[in-house]
Amino acid sequence: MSTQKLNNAVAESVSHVPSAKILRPRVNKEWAKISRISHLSHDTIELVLSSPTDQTRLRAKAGQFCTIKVPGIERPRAYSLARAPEVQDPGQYTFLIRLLADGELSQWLLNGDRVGETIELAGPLGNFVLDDNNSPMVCIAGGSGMSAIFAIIESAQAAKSARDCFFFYGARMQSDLYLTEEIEKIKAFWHSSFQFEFVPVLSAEPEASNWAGARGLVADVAVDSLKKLGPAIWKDCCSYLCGPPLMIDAALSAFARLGVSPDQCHFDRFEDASFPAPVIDNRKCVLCDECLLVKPTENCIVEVSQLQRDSTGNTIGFSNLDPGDTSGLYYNALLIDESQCIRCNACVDVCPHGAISHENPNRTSTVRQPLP
Amino acid sequence: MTRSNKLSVPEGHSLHHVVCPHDCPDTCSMLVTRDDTTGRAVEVRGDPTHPITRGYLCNKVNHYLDLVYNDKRVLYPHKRIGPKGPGAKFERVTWDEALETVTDNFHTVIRDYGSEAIQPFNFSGTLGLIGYWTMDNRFWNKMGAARLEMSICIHAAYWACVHTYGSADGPDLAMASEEAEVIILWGVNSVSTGVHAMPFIREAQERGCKIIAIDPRVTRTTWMADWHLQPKPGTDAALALGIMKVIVDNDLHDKEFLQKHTKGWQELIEQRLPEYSLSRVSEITGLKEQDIETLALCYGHTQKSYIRAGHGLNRHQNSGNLCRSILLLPAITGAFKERCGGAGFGRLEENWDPFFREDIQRTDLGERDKKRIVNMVQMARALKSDIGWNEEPLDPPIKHMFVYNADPANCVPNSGEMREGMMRDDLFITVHDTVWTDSCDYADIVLPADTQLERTDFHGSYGYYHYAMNLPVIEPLGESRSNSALFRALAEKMDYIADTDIAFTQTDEEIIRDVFLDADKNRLVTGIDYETLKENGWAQANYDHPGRDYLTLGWPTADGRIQIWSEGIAAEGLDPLPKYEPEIEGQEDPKRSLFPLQVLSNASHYFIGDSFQTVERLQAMQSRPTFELSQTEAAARSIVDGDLCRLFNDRGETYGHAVIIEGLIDGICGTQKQYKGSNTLGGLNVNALNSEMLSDFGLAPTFYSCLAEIEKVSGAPSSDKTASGVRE
Repeated sequence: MSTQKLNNAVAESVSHVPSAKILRPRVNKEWAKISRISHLSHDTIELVLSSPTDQTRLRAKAGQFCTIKVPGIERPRAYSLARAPEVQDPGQYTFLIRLLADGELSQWLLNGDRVGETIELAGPLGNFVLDDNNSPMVCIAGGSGMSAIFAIIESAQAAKSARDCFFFYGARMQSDLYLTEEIEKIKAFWHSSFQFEFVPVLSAEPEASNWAGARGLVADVAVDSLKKLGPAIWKDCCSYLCGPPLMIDAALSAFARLGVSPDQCHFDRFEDASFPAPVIDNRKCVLCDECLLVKPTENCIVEVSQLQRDSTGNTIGFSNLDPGDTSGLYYNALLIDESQCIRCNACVDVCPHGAISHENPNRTSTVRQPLP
Repeated sequence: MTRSNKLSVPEGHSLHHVVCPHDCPDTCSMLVTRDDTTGRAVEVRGDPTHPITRGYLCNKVNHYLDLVYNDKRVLYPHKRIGPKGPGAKFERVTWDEALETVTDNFHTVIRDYGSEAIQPFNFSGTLGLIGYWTMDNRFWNKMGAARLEMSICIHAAYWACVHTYGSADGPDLAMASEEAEVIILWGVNSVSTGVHAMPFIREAQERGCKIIAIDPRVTRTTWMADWHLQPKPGTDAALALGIMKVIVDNDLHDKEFLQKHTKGWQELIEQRLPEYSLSRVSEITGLKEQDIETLALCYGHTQKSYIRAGHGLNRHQNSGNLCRSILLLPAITGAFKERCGGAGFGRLEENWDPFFREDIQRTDLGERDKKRIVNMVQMARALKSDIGWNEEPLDPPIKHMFVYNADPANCVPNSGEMREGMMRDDLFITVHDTVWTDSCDYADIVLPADTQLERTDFHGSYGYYHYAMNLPVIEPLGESRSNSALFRALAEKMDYIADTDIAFTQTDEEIIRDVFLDADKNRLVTGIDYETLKENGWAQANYDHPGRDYLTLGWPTADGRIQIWSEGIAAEGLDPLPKYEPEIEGQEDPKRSLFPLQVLSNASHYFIGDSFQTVERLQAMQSRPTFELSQTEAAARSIVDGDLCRLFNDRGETYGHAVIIEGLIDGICGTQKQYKGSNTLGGLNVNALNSEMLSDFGLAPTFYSCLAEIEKVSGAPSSDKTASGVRE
């Protein structure tokens, strides 16, 4: 080709740079208005959102979670849906928010009348959903872990599931309990040939109080009850665990001692930023895009062209070139930005090659030398 | 955060099994969610229950819906108005007018030149066996059209296997990964060309299996191996024979196995292996003697070994012998005694090939077996210079080329001349495709094809032992039609229906149930129930069928033995024992003084052949062709990373950007095969440099036997920003 012709061709080529944006993520975005905020207990509020009818719906299932991003707060927060989507009006979403003294979102919600404000939802996320079988359900929730478990039992009841359900809920004191009437309603409408037991368990209720129910740690009480119910239940059950990591870890190890197989256990650990973010080992990464399809926020996993390191080799930052301007395969490394990661671990779950783990050192190799 | 194997869909949606139809060994099972209100597919993911797919998809098929709902899709029949060639203009016509125009031309060509002047051109745009090889062949057989030698992909390795083992393959990689102590990934980049192999490889590695990669290139697959050896390209036969010699010298060969199950092993040991001393093999391959010996001992010390070889090996001029030498290694060690033991380029010969037969294609409909045949590898010369099989003149010339499942303007070697041939005024071209390919620019009529979400089909994996059935999930977009619907419509227009019994009236489902699942003709489908297959979307092949017990029953060859000495190869006038011969346009060719780089045009991580090049994300990730060079080769030419370069030889030129790869060996240049010419500066991809030469046997293409030189383009801007290489 002559130089002139080549120059023309090069000039023409820069007129269209294709976009590397993923057009159909498995996580969808939606705008919703706050339609109700109500206090369920001294430290928990129910947040109900409604979205306009003309947008694509989050195709959520009971047990899954979404991220909520409110104006003025950069990082979204993850919350489980607290109602089964199939029983709510289309476009309505309910969440349970635990109020924290230093929580940014708590403060935002309490600061004036927020009803009518528009916020950003993204989801659905997670694989914590009801199994498609009739084995007994053993549900354990702690704190606002109530949300996903409530949605799951509501969904099972609405589907008239022919199965027993044992629901253990852990709280500190009586004043922490909520949704008890709604759970009684679910019990009343549960499949008449099957059992539904709701067992609230209090860990810090004063000895002298009128509480006649179970006391102690919810995982212990649940396991003791399972022992009494016998192997016929625990050998066959599906367990659903949702809430604080300590509670889940305690329940999982107690289940393991009992001989409940890990395949029977589904769990959703509510991790916060005090937990470390997972790290991607780019030498194991096969660039399949599975993690990018489920990332809950725009910038939690970034496609970078160069990693910056400190003197010990730890990754401290990154730089980016638009893939459309480079040669993707060679410069494409994936990085979890710890400051943006919401600890949902969706990427860890979907990675087919074990490249994403909390165990990876924070000095993950890139597969190529950086651009000069 | 969560763990559950259950996949369910929300209200108002339904979940459907779809088979990935693309040219890949994995043949994945996808789960597609359809919004039943709008009728649109809204999500695609991997089937978690499928033993190979295991719940995830590759970086291409994860964006499958961007291909289905793509603004480059051909949605309606079109007729060209104005001149042929890049930038050609088209107007929409009705299906009836389009079919009338095509069949009018068929009639005219048949009347004036005979049916042989009509040349189908098709390949692996879909691997669905109905769309790939069934209704179309019934049509061409009835017509008596010219035949096409479809040897562009894996023919050298295929014939190497058939000449050696008959139609018999051992275990697949998933089976091998359970027990193997050594897995050799020989010239295969599974991360980019069959990613579902990788977790099996990792699991084996974690179990303690040694993973050895043999590849002159540096890839994401070689990075994951325990050991990476980089022989010079095209020298693999010498390496395999050198390994055999070390094994025999160390008395690690299984004499009992060789005696009982092979023919010619003594001749191999006495006459051939002495030529492959460590020093000579080291000189040929560029590997250290010590490394060759270590490799041989590592492989030879166990029968729990598996070799997964890649398709690129089969694209050398000496590839028949190259592939055969590799395939023979497990026969030397007796690895076939183990369930995990074997070697292969895939499972093509056994799992796929039984579907290429007369009751499926209905060869009885005409006398097409007497018609002329053109090798698709040599289509450029056929169109441009009327040169046919064995250099004989094509008389009459090709007057109508009917293109489907392929983009010949980009996929054949010598693509510059191919496009010149397609420009011929007296050549009528029909193209049936899903998206507007470069070949459409040369077409008289363009017909809209569907996608896998819109049709019924049946698949056999060429990498693993499973089958799959696909049913439509959505209505065909626009007026698109499946291949089988197209050829049924053409048959009707040509008045072929009346005297061809059920050939064109059998439905796709009936063909799957009554013809494909005939266990008398393919024992691997024994026990597969049609209704279960339909419901589940996939089924395991009957790998443990008693008829496959080759150790007891013998191999499916002339004398039941593995043919180390092959009469089939002798009949082609070649040496019946495996051997290394330096390839033409390879490392030992004196032509290297002019063109010192051997060009390896590999699969891109972001496309599957021509497919997916219209998906914007994937186009962005491979926004321009690249030339991989070693640091030394780049420095010798003052090329730095990102430079716009011209790759050229005596046949043609193409443009791309240099990527300097640490650890790449000298003397080679890696680039992408089948990159869209219209997205390449200059308009032609690397196939402009490739020749139409065929392999030593198997009639395969020689894409990797291509010597070239590279230079930095001066006078043109070459920064990253200015070099997206994409034009619209």
